[in-house]
Amino acid sequence: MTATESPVATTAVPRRPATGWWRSLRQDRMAFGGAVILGVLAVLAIFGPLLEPDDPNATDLFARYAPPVFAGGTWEHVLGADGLGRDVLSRVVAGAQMTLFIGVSVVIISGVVGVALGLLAGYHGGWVDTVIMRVADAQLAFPGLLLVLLVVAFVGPSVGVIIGVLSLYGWMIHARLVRSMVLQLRQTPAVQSAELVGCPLPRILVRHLLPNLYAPLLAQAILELARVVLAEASLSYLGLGLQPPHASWGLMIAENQGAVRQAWWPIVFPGVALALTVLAVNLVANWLRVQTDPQQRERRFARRLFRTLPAAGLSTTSTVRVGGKNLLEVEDLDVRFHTMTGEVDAVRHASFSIAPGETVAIVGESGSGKSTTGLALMDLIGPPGRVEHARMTWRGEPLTAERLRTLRGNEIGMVFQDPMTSLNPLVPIGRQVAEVLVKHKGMPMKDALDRAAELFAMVGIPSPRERLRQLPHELSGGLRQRVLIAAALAPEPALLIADEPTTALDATIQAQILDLVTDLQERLGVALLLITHDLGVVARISDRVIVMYGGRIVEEAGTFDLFARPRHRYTEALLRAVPRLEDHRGRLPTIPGYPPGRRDVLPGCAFAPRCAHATETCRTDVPETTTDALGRFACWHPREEQ
Amino acid sequence: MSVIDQVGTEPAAPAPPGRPAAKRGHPFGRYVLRRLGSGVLVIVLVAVTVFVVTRVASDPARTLAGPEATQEQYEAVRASLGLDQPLLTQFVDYVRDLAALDFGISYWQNVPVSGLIATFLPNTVLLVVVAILFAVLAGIPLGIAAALRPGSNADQATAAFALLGLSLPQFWLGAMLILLFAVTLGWLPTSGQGGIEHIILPAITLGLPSMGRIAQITRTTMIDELASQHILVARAKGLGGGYVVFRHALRNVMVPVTTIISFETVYALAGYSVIVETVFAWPGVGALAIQAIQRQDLTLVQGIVFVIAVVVVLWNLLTDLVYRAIDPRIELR
Repeated sequence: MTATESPVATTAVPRRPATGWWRSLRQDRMAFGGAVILGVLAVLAIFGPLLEPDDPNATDLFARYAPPVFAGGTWEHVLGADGLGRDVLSRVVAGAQMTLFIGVSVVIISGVVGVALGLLAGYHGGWVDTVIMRVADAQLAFPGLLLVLLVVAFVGPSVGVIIGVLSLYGWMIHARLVRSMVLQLRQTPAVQSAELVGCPLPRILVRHLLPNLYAPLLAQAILELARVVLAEASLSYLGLGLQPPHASWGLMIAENQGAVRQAWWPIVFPGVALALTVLAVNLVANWLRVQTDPQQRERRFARRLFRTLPAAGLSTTSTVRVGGKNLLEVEDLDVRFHTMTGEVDAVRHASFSIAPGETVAIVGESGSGKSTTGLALMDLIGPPGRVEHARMTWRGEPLTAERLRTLRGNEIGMVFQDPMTSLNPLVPIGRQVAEVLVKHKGMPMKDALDRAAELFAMVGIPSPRERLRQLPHELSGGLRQRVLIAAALAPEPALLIADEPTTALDATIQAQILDLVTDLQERLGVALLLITHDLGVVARISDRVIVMYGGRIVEEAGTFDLFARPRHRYTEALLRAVPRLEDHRGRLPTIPGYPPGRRDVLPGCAFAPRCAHATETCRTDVPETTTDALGRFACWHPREEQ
Repeated sequence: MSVIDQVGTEPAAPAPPGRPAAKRGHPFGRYVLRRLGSGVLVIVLVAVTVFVVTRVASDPARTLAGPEATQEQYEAVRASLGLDQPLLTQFVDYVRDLAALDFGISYWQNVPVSGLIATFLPNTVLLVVVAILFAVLAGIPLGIAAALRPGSNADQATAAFALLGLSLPQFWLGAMLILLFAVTLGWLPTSGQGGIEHIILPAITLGLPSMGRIAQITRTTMIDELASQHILVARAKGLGGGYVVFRHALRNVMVPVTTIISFETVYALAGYSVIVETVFAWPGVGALAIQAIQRQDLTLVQGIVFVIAVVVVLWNLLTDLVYRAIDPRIELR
């Protein structure tokens, strides 16, 4: 997504310090519940014998099928008693002990075996790797409980055999994970150079691999625990696991299933204990998984926050300059990212317009807010970002969110930065162009595909008919960008937004694509909003330039005027950093410092920290925008005519 | 006449080289052969495991002859099983019989094992197919619904339901369903096979954990998919939300989901069916295997395990082909 380009803070309001794992666990109610259940189970397993109200194997024939206390029973057997008069609660507690003992043993054994074999396979490679991975694949391909049953049935159902067999069934997933991480690690330059200077690989693996393995292995091991607990219970239920008089949850259910009409409690409570255990394990594992995906956490956080914030977006109530001749007018566009660590203003009070057929360039460094502006025009900002405020008109009429939806992809087309990921990998390219026509022009798919072939020819795709059925991976990056341009131009839009359409391409292809875009633009009379950081491109094709810095528009002028007479000190520095062939000044001047980061709090001009002319005012007050015949600029100390 | 028509055809720009023409030979044939090869490896490993477990790691003759048998009786049983032969001879005979699909005579039923399996296997397949259909038809829509609004109440409810489904032990879930729908409400039969009402409870019991896992995978891959660049582009093309989800995102989501469905089918067939068939007295090979194990019916057990392994391998091969149809990018290495 283009918006992953880090949005910039002009005013970052720190919300809360970075959240630790404990806080994050507390916030996720379900995961916290799971952790609590697991904690209780651990206590039961360790202190079990002390907590059991009764000897789990003590039979009391007078208490046969005694009901639980809330179903008319006595406090002697809180959860009732089974067919032999044994206390259900005590047996459930004893079962927890057995279940966790087997589960944890298996997870540890299969973990150690799996990690060792995975390390061996990844480290040694060659035939050792082949043998280990082939066996692992074969086991994964036939993961049946059936083989486990067979072994237990013929070798004998002792606790040791059960632990051994279940361990044999879990090592592969760990081995696979470790092996792939070893292979990945060996590819990294750091490890390769360490190997080169003679650092023994085993030591490298211990130093670099184990810290990275910790989290994914833990998540896997926790999930494995759930599987083992279920497997042990199932074995015991089938009479092939723990044998009486062991108290196992599976066994308890099997023993009392026949009398279910008479007494439900001896089978319901162990089942509930079992289900709760597995559920708790899964909840914690899920939480661990989300922890490792910060993007998902951000989106989830923002979605929740949006429900509590006042509604935002396009406002149509007080549209100014209704009825103008411009194609698109934008006033006071504000885009804000609501991240977990604070609010980031990506675009602040941006106002500009585009006339029919005009080429306007938005230039700025990465993070200046230019891509976010482009997405905002299409109403494509998603969580954690949000258009806080904007007034827009289209052909002189106020633009509502609903109206914008009918324009999007129809009268306003957009071409993105990365053609390699912008096409659906599993949909034929012809269809990806034709569907636009089906949607916006109501064409039948067959006609739309014919039209797509014509469009392919128009954007210079050779043998267009034959290409219609091809998938994106069969095309080069340049051809894919041509497909995307064809899709954007298919419904004959009035405005084309091109967000760095050539950045991801080779230099020669860049020139071709740019020529194609400008050529088509002139011939079709489309207005072009070009988002770029390439000043050479700007000089060549645009009529007017908008310069963005730190989320604000800092200068706007006709292309010639801007290059000849920049006023904002940032624009001036930017132009000075452009290499020229005829220039023999020696070192290419650069702008000192870095663009503002998302955490920087800059109450004044965002460029002040890097500006040679900055004064105290620059640092404290946002420059006012000066408008004149040449354009406008927002600088306290503009460059004077020399 | 549209404006674009007047533009005419662009002189063909020197197109960047596309992918080279398809490789020579029959990559597809090679692919199938390669997959078959790894399938054979699975069958060999299963056969060896069965052999080792039943003849090296244990002594079925001792169990069959009973604890009170004299040494002569024990020797007689051993000889009748062929267990007195050298291990190598036993192994050669064993492999030869398996290759000829001759699994011998069941001690317990005294009929050919192949006949028993032929009678019981279709019931297992029927149960697994219905269960997986249920899991897919319920799991995928649930996963999609949850993914459309991650973090919402609907998502949380779906996640909880999916989690519950995969956390409930099947033998207990089956017992509870019987208690509720058969014993208490009397709507459905408790066990056995018969009309369509007999398969409802076993299929739900067998399919529910799979449904949970399918819903989870669908949800997470759909969330990632909806955040991808090509979906942003599809939305920039003005395509509707439903179209984007079902025509664009779902196709990509189905790639990993197919893997999971295949996995779930294998798990159900070669594992969970044993439990569910036992709980519901469903006349399939799973319940048959348990009875054979309880009676130490060596030939029947190894026959069942072997046949299931073959079915699983064939199924994996079929999935590989389906997988390739969904995602043609997969290289036919």
